[in-house]
Amino acid sequence: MDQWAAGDATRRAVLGDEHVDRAKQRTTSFTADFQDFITRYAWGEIWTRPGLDRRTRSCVTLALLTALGHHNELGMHVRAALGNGLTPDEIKEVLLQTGVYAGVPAANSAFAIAQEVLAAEGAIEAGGADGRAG
Amino acid sequence: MGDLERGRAKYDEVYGEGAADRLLAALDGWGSDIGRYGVEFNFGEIYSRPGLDLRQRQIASIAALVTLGGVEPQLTGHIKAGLNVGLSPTEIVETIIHCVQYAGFPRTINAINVAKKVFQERGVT
Repeated sequence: MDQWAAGDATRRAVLGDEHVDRAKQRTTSFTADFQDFITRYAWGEIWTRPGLDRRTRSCVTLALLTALGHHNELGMHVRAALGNGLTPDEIKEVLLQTGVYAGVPAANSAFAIAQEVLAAEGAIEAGGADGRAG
Repeated sequence: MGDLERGRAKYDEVYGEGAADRLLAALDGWGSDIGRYGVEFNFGEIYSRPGLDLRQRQIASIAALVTLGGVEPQLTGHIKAGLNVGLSPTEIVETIIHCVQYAGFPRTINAINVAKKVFQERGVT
């Protein structure tokens, strides 16, 4: 399988067909090179490497996106983490663990996003007005 | 409330007998409160929670530290800790490589160099 096909398959396995089809539909001539690049590089190479299983790669991804504060990507990867077999409790522990290194505000934002996504997926109970923690 | 004694035991489980006391002794004077917080809260609470094992916690910690960048002394410590709790060199290297697509090359290259140095010191090939 070539790098693009391997990347597309991994991306679909992790993020779901719906997400990938939507990303493809939205691709323009301006964004096409970027879509091609991340399919081959991020998904075809890195996410496809042996050495760590997808559950563990999801742990790594949640920790680093929390530390970076990339909130849109974090929501997407909380959903992906469920698909990769992490439980809500495991996701919670990764965010707690990251909080002591990246700081409480980073974890607080991450908890609000994960609460919203996990509740929307029916994996945990819904929170208050907007699900935000203190 | 944090638990200093449980933290001391958990820290020693990760870093070896007497390590918590050495950390607390090194962070004396103006550093004593931050040293105590690290042992009491990070290790007495967070690391002592069920839900993730110590290997998974080190993987998450290494990912956060690689991504933060500029924290090479702490990354050195956590790569050693990862080996101590049973992570393989491959698992550590893969955790670092996984960060490259999100955190970029500069931080990831710095992290790989930290790992290479630790592996060399430990005689890991």
